[in-house]
Amino acid sequence: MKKAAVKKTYWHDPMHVGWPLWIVAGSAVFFLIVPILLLVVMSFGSAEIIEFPPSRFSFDQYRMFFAHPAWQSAVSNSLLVASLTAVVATVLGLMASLGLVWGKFKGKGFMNAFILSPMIVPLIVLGLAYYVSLVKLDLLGTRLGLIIAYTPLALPFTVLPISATLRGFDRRLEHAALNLGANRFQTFMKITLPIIRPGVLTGAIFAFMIAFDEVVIALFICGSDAITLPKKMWDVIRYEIEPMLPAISTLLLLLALVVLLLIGFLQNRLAKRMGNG
Amino acid sequence: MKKKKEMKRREFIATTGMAVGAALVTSSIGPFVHTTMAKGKTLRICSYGGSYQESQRKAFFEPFADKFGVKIIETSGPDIAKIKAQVDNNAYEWDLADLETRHVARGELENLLEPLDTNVVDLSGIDKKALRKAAVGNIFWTTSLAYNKEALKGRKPASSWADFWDVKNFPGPRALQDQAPFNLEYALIADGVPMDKLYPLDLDRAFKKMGEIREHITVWWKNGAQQIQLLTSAEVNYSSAWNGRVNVAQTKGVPLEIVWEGGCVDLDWWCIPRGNPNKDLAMKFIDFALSAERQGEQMAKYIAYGPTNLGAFKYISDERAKQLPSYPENLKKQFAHNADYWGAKLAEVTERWKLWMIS
Amino acid sequence: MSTLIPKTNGKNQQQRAALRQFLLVLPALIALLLFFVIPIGSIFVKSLFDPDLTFKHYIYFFQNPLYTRVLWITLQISVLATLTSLIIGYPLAYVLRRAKPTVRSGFMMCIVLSFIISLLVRNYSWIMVLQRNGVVNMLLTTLGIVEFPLKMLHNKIGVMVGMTHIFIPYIVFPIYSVMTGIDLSLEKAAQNLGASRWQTFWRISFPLSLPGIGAGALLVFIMSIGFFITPALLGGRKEQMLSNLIQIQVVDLLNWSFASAMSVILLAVTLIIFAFYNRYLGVERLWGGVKL
Repeated sequence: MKKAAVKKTYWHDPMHVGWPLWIVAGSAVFFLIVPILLLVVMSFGSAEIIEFPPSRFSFDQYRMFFAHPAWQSAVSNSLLVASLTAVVATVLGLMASLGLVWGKFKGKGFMNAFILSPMIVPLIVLGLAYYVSLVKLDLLGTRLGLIIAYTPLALPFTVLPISATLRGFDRRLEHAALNLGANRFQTFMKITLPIIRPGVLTGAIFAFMIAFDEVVIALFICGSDAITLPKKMWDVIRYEIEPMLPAISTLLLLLALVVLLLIGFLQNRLAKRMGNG
Repeated sequence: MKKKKEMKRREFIATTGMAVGAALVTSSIGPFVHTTMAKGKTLRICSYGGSYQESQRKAFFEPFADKFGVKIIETSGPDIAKIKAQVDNNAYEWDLADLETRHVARGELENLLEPLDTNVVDLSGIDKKALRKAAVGNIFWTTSLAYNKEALKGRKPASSWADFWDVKNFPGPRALQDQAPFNLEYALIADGVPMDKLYPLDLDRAFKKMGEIREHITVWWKNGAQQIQLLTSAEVNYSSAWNGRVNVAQTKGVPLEIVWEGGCVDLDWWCIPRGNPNKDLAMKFIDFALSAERQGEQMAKYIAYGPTNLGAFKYISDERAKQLPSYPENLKKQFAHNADYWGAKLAEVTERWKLWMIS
Repeated sequence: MSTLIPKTNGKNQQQRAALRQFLLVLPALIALLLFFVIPIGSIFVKSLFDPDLTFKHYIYFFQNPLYTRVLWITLQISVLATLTSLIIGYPLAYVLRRAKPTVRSGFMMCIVLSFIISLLVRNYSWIMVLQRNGVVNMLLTTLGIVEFPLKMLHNKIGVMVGMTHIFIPYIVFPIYSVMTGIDLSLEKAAQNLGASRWQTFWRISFPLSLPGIGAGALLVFIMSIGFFITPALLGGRKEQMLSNLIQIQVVDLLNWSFASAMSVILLAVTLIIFAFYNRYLGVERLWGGVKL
């Protein structure tokens, strides 16, 4: 049976997405941001009770946050612990990915699985494990303890995207550079790293997010010297309403937005420069 | 030329970035591990945070720090598990903790709390119910039936647990806490058991009565914020609630009411992890905080709980006293939470409760 | 081309290269050994010694109907949550792959931003949205779509909404990553050969994206097995998760040996599931590495 000779060209275009699919995807994204919108709106409401929609407009919640050093300290603790975890996990993950993707040594498969294994351990198991072992080292309730606990957790999430990007990387570019006289370090910094940067960044962002928003392990580990934001929220919510929370969330969202835009901007600039170089 | 300029700019950004980063890391935050505590001049206290801890701060921590030149380090989220970890490993994070009864009961069973030295701590004015071997009660607080006046829309409010169980005459969504303690006692009271004959609990009878109300409970609340939020937003008509939080909501203009009849009066306790080298200073603090004047100030001005030092009522106005759980009029209508019963039975009753919940 | 590849001195240089690469992996391995294996090992030990060697906690777990039933509920909820995340996440990944760069960046940003809202605050937002006089019910009743408010909270619906919201980024990224490795000209070829859009999808694109689906589903399923906060806040009396029971044993009842045994059992369940996954889909395909 002969089909009609003339077909609309977009039908063949694999990049084309029909409108029903757009509606589904758009709804999914809307679903994702509903709590965000709610929180931003609520953050400008009263600082006495939590209500939606807010009955009046005020900056009270923000004022309250800036007057409470304990909350600010919790936020900065979380930012610090998460940043350091991201750095450690990304560096370790980058090195491990380089070794695992290109390495030719025995036991590679096992090591790969081993590095990914923290992903399959339920958080409460990890929390209890760290509780029982960190207490002996007197690291409970310290930032170092938190970083120690979060790094294995974040490691799979750096190794995975970096490995994926590495596999798509053409090693002949490296070989070319080496042949032209560059040493290994230069080759890595100027050729390899810029190309795998998206994977590295994805890994770093995931590592940061995981450490930043982690509640269960924080409940076990946090103590007087190191209270993270999720732990503080948990403590407060246990006993009463904390009306400042929408404001804190909105401020964090703003911070995240700024950082993401900055990363995007830097990536654009660097890409342009590489194009010119 | 352009390349050179760009390289210089890039290096500048990089170095400033690193400098800022280093500054942030080193300056604002502080040590990564425990710094050694100067014994005798610092006191680490763990309490419940929020407005409760603030009331303690104003009435106890700051005056004590001023009077004795001690630095008080506050933290929150006390629980007996952490105390066990501290005691077992001889690594103390807290010198003093404010614990719930169930945690105190467990702590005593496992010998985790330091007995109080009556030479240091003056217990003479303290209500007998607040005295235990290794802990002393610091507040009386009540969990009881609460409702939002406006949510009832003019209907007569329930005034007892029997009313709460009567869904026909007192309709509307309800909430209870997702745990066995308190609820089983309420069920027995609703079933007609006199308050002084509650313990040991007739579990079969209690669970049977709970079965009558189970499908009418829309929400089984899990934490303090939830219970108040449910009432404030009129998500439920009735709920069990903590009197302190109800009072705080009332001061913010939310039309909540609490019913003293059939309420469960319980205590919070000052405890010291056993073997803590700083225990002498901790006991000195307890002695200070238990004084009639200090408790009086806390309850009169800052939070609506009942003092455990009976002399504190001297410092509290009559009008304010009526809002407190240990005001004699209110106290008569309530029953006391039996710590020893629950200390022994919590594990098995909790398992029975959970199994019942999922059936 | 071969002149661009550095000449090797045979085995010696290869061995040196292999050693170098192994050394790169070593720090991560050491970190895991110290900060992961040893703590988990101590739980193992704790579950078996109370204080002498005993299996009583394991036996008790399986004898007491509460724990086995809650384990079953946990698995059911996890399966459901994984399915709903897939149903929403797959189309999203599909569209992300094909969207224009600006749209894609915008969507990605929404996904990442939804990440940074704390778990606890997120759950409270959903309470505001789903409760009896919450946003959704207000809309539905004022528009006259329903007469009485719908019960979308403190039941399975609430739990699914809450958990799916958290899991979408974790499921979208693996699927998206695999999809970017699929050459779209395959689809074009199929359609040129006369396949309809549906046929192209179902017989070409979908099977090729399976590794991503497998990876994402595995990750989400395992995460949800360990969840307890979201089900506790958004679920009803029947939505009890095993992690919650573990927490009660640790914090309230101080029965750490039993809690450890429960943790080991939970871990064993995830390992079994992971083993199944490995058998049928292969670990090395986790998050990319699709070879054609």
